[in-house]
Amino acid sequence: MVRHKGFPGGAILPNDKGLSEGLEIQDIPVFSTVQVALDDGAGGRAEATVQAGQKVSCGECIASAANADGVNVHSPVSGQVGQIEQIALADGSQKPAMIIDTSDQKQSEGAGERPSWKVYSEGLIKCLRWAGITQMQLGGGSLVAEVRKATKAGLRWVIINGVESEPLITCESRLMSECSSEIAQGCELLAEVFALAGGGEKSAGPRGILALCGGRRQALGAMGKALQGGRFRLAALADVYPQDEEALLANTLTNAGLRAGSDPAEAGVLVINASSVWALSQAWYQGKPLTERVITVSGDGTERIGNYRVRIGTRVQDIAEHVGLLPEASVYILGGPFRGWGREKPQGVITKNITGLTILSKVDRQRPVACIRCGWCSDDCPAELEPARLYQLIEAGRVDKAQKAFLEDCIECGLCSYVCPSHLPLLEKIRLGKWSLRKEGRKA
Amino acid sequence: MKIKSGPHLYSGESGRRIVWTQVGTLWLVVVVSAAFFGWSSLMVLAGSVGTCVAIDLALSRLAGSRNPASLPHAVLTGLLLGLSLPVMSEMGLMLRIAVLGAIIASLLGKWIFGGMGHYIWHPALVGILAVHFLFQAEVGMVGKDKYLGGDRREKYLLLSNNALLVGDLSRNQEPRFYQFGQDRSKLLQPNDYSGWCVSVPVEPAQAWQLYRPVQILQELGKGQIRNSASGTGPSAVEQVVYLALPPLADAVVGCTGGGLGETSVVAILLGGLFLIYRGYVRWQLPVSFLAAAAVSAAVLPLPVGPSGELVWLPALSGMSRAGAANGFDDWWRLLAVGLSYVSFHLCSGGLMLAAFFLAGDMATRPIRLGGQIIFGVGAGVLTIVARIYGGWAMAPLGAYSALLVMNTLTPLIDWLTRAKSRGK
Ligand code: SF4
Ligand code: SF4
Repeated sequence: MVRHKGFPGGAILPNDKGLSEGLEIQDIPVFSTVQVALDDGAGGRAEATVQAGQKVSCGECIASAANADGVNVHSPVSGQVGQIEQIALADGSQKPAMIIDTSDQKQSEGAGERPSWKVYSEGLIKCLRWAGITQMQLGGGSLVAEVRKATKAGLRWVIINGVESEPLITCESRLMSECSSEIAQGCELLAEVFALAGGGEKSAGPRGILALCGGRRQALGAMGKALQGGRFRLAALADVYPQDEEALLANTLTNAGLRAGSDPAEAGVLVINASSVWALSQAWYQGKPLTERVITVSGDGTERIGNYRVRIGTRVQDIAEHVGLLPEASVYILGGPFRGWGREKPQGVITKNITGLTILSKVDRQRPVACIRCGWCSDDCPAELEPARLYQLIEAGRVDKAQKAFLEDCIECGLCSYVCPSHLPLLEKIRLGKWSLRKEGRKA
Repeated sequence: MKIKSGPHLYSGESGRRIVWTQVGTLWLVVVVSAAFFGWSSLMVLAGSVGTCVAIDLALSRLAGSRNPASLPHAVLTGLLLGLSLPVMSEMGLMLRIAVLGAIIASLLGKWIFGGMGHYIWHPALVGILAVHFLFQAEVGMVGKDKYLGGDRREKYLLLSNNALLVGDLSRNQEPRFYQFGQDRSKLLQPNDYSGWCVSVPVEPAQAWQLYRPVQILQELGKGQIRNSASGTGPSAVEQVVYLALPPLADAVVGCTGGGLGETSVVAILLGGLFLIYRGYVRWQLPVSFLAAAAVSAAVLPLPVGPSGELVWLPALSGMSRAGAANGFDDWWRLLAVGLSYVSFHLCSGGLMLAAFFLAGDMATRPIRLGGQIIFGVGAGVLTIVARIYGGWAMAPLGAYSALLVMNTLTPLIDWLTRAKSRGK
């Protein structure tokens, strides 16, 4: 049975998942350099523990967590450490990254030392920090911080987020189809750590759910089999964008009165990305730190659409060359076509939170005209905002008024810009407003 | 390095597409109007659409604005304006009225506010109301008839079934029209005109001259049905429903007197349903509009007869003793009078056109669903109030003037329905 969405607005987007959903995960080779971000914007920092010129092997720790939310960073390749440089993350923010040169190095799977963990939540946090696991989706925060917050608030639900509601992206369904037993192992581990109660809705104690889209038959089947007898239940959800947003997903499954802009962890609902659970399982049971992830390469600008396993830090340019570009390719998007960040050239690197590389031949944005008050932007806004009004207010410089109209609740899903028949850059303007609010906040 | 924020996909909708679709859904209404009112209907529509388009082209060039939705919107405005005008025996006058209405709609309705997306009243509404007030005698059928003598109130023309499509209403030759109801007492004689399908005017007439159903309803309200046999109280309602009004099926199909595109409920409904299917109109707006109109028609006390005696709950008027004495014995048939009365209110006088096409105009209705329902309910209630308590000339304008009032209130409704706080 497919569950309905538990949030206002949202939209059923054209379904083009068929493109890559059935394609097996392929390995992408190691290229001559990787740029490993030491801070991927999730709130944690890491200090380099190796010097320039030093040789590192794959899986070796190259930076250790430097603040409470921070996680270790491991070398995804064997090679020679270069300089630490500022690179632009997907959204353009400048962060330090370590350049590692892999030329004339034999690639080996070298596992570093493996600490022993105890099965309780502090042990889980240690494991996450050691293995460098964060929320592996764009906009995801620090997983460590969320686990802490949720346990402090009294954990009630653990939700594994395998919903990919953005068009084109299929990396997680693919991972769940192919690595279902590892993910199920990770789920059981979480069940053990948080003492989850098994046995359905009525049992007392915190419960676990793994959620994915009802349309992903293969992943559903595989996960259903793998989770059998375990304490996690499977939930198939309607394919509505943006169902994979943490707060909205949490509300759909728990009905806890969460809405866009609220923090599920504070309500005792821990939402963990399915890829992160896979990474956790790898780290806990096999001692492998997080050094690679699965991404979907898709769009009408690429020759070989597919799901690829790439090393963290691989440059977009290398991936694009590997999969082959069509001559009309002109937009390179880190992430999916809705929440991803677009560039005109193949630039940027894969960080832990990048789910895909979308290469489009063109972005069909027409010239904006005056708002015709169709109201579609408010109808579809999952945060129940009035984007049309926010747009006017921000344009008129009244960010304070926009703030009173709950500007900050926007989850930047992009639906308003998508539906607008007047082609107004609503989300861009709203981002601008939020950004200037943050700036003011810092000054005050 | 330039980084663009999402989304990088777009739905492909545009204002231009929306408005062209709205225009497209009116084709059936246009066809029906040409069938029942002859070719002159197409001439009137061409006049009003042509004028709106010409003004729009000229002014958007002048103003340097290049909104691609503006031109189709001008077509839509012209169409809606033309469809609200009744057919007249004098072609030239009709055209002049249509063109003047189009000029007013374009200039005072749209461009004075700065064009597309900025106006506060639907331009077509402004045009409709303006011509009705300027040409009360011709359009509203108030006053004396210059050509036929007597009361103008009988001058809504409708091709008879043997002259459908080929009849010509544009010549003012008396023998061509069947002077139905010249003697107004005849209105209440059932044998004269018992529906469009079964009545044929005497040779060589090609057309009927009929009341608008909505104006008959209004006469009832004004207590002007003097000659009805027992014309007081609830029984007057019954008399009117059974004897004076055409069969309800005629009002649904569109063969009654009235504006070109106002009469055919079926055609409007089909177009409206398509707009709802496409998501260009949310169903809650027309439904709340029509439901509020139905409820108000059912419950608003109706002054009847020369003394203005009030009939409370007109929907139940068939249940009065007079009704029972006429031989109705089962409940359903007792309710039938009241239900027909309500249905006539719904099916006549531009209410349908207003609910699906004029109210659905995006720029002039509230933006949120809750506001749209308030808007619809307000318009529905005001429509019936204007019809029952307004004058003869007001009756066909009930829906339009109600909509104009609600257009004015839209910013207020928007403000009222805006979220002021939210629980985290
Ligand atoms: S981007 Fe923000 S304002 Fe726009 S629809 Fe999404 S949540 Fe609403
Ligand atoms: S979607 Fe665009 S045109 Fe429609 S109300 Fe919102 S801003 Fe205006």
